Amino acid sequence: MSGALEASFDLLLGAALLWLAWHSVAAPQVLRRVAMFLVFGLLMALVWARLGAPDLALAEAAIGAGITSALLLGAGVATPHPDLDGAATRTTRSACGVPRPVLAVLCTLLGIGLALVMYATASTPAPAPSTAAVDAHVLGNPVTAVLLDFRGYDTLLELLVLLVALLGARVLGERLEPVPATAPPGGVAPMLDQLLAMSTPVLLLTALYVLWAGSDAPGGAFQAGALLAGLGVMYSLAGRLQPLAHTPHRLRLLLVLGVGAFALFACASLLWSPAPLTFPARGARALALTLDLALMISVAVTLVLLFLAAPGARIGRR
Amino acid sequence: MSLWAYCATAAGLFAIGLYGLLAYSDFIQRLLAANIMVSAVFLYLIVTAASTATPPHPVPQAMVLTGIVVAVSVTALALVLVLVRCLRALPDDAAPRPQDTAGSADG
Repeated sequence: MSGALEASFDLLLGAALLWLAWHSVAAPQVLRRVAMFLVFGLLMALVWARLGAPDLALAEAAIGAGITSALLLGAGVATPHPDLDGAATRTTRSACGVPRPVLAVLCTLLGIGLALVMYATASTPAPAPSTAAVDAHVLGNPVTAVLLDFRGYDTLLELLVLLVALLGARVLGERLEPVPATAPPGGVAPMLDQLLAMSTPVLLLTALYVLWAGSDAPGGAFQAGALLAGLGVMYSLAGRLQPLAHTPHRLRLLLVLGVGAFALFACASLLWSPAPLTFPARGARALALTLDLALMISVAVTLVLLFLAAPGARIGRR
Repeated sequence: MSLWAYCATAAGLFAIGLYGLLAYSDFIQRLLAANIMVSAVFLYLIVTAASTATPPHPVPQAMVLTGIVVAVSVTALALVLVLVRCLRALPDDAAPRPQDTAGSADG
């Protein structure tokens, strides 16, 4: 009975995801597309929770649905759109030259084929990989243990990717005119101060809790950093944070804090182990929390600066 | 967890994303489509991990977590590229930023 119920829930979730994905790709207006994508991200978070991955659910809700949608929404409002009225959506000629009906048939066939292959590979009985090393780790949350300890290289390089993306955005932004520091047009809405004053401590507290709990429960540096970045996005949308022409030195320090902490840890770990990025036997929890804190700050500052460099914060003041 | 439902969802999402990427010329629309393709790949990764063990093995989870963060940074960088391209394509080079019509541009 509960099996049938679960299967129908999964089926409903999958159908809703497909419907939302189709509308976030093919809806006529750009704002409707982004709104559909936002809901798509939230349902994706539900799917992660359903599949037993609550860390991913938190990350998807905060980053995938939150920050990405804020970026796209700002861009959708700010950049000029020739097909805002849906004129370009109605043509049958696709961007790659193939007529759209043919493309739709091809993609449907590809989807059916992919589904068969995916089901065949996923349902092949494979021995479950061992989780003994992760289970025995001093950090109770296996995903945090993998991110910080077993696959520290991945996390270090991921931070570098974030940094390089920000550098790219800044270099491209240099070619544009600097944005004059102005108050948001139309004055400050009377409720905005209240909303910011109320949500700032709540978001700070939530982010710090998610960071603290991340050692043993779902959560961690990336989720906490994304929550803090959400606070920054709110301030930016309220006109309290302006795009910067130059990054101040203190902010640059915060940007490289995560990479720097990881690099220092990699060097220091050679003192007690032959391989870099290995946790010591004692004091592992404190070290993990310190690394997580540095990571959270870097992720938050990088995401906020990326948002400020993106179109929404630059020309979205209407 | 019904494996076939999630496999079909992942495949469908990938196909929809690919169609959106190839069929439309609007950059933000294509960026949305690419993001949906990325979601499809993540979903398949976790579904395969969840088919052998519940909860899924932490390594694919950590990989997808990394992927989500990388995807958002790529999206932001792509949006800046779109912005630069849009402003280049505007006819009037002297006033590249589309200001609101209330006259707040020059004071």
